[in-house]
Amino acid sequence: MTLPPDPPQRAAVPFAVPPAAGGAPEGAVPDRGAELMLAWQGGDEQAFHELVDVYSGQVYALLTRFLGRGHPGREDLVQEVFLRVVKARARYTATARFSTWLYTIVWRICINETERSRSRRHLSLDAGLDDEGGLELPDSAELDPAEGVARADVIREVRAAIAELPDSQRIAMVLARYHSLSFAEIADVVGSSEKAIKSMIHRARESLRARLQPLFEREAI
Amino acid sequence: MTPGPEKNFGDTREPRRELDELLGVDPAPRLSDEARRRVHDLLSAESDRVLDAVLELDEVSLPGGLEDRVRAAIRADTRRRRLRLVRWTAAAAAAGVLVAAGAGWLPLGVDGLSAEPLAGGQVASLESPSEELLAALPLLESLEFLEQEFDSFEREVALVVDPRDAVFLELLELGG
Repeated sequence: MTLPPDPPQRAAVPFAVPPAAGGAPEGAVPDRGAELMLAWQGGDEQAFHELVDVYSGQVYALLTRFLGRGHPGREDLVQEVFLRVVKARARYTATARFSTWLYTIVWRICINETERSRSRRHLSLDAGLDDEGGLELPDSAELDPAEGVARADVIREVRAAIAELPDSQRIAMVLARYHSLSFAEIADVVGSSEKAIKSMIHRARESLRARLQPLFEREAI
Repeated sequence: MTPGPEKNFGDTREPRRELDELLGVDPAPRLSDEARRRVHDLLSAESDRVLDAVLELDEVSLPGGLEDRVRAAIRADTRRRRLRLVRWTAAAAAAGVLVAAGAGWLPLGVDGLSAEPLAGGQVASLESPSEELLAALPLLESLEFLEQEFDSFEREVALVVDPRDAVFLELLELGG
């Protein structure tokens, strides 16, 4: 099963206030996640099951693209994300899109995990060992031989190029490109300004363009 | 070689073709600002389109049964935390029962003959249910919870094994 990018959402329109809070304003995007979260707060346990169904794949995809496919324990991290959602059940308020709130939790876990990976790598280097965890692994997992060698090469290059981006650029680019978050929403997730996010994404795209340029010329996509 | 007359490409409707033609005749074309902007926009848009097309190739395969395992992990965590709470409550309640029982015996004295009144002039009586019963209530509630939430094996383990024992907690999770 593969996960396509999130469907595009109209980020410019206002966040939909769930029905329980007085009805959505005209033209607002309905936020299923917020509805489910509020229903769960109200005692509907089934709503939480649906939340897991709807969002666990998105969380896994974000962790995978940020941490890399060579990172062990991504599934455990998905569980950790939802455990934090459980703990935050009582204090959740629908002031933003649910996915924005959820990705904030994912981002914190990503930061912790990245720091942990780096310290593990430092320890391994100090001990003279070759560390194979974290972002440095060649990102060749999940490539289908049926895709063909050329296409597999392109995908491998794309993953490597994304992995080489600095953390802040990588999360901003992934959230914008694959999860359809607006600049303002990404700024909320990573705790930065909209202007800074716009700049980060611009730089990330420039880096990707420069890194992948030989591919464009070779493949003439 | 003298450069040819400057052409104005600002009003062209097909800037790409015009650009190709232009580059074909003049290796250092001089474009109007408007034409330069349009060509730049066109090339940028094309470059963005290509980059997006390439990024689109990167899909994430989801492990089968991910949602079920997430739910199972959350159930196990919830049970673990509630079990820990039950054991702490039970321990506190048991301690309360012992204290209450001790308080009941205290007025009888060590030899069981000389009863002294407690502070405030009241004499505790074993017949009075209040202190012991109140102290035992959390225990009874915990037992009720165990009765409802756990099967007989789990209840036995919960009441005997220290919850910090990871092996038995794993057993509980497997049983769940």
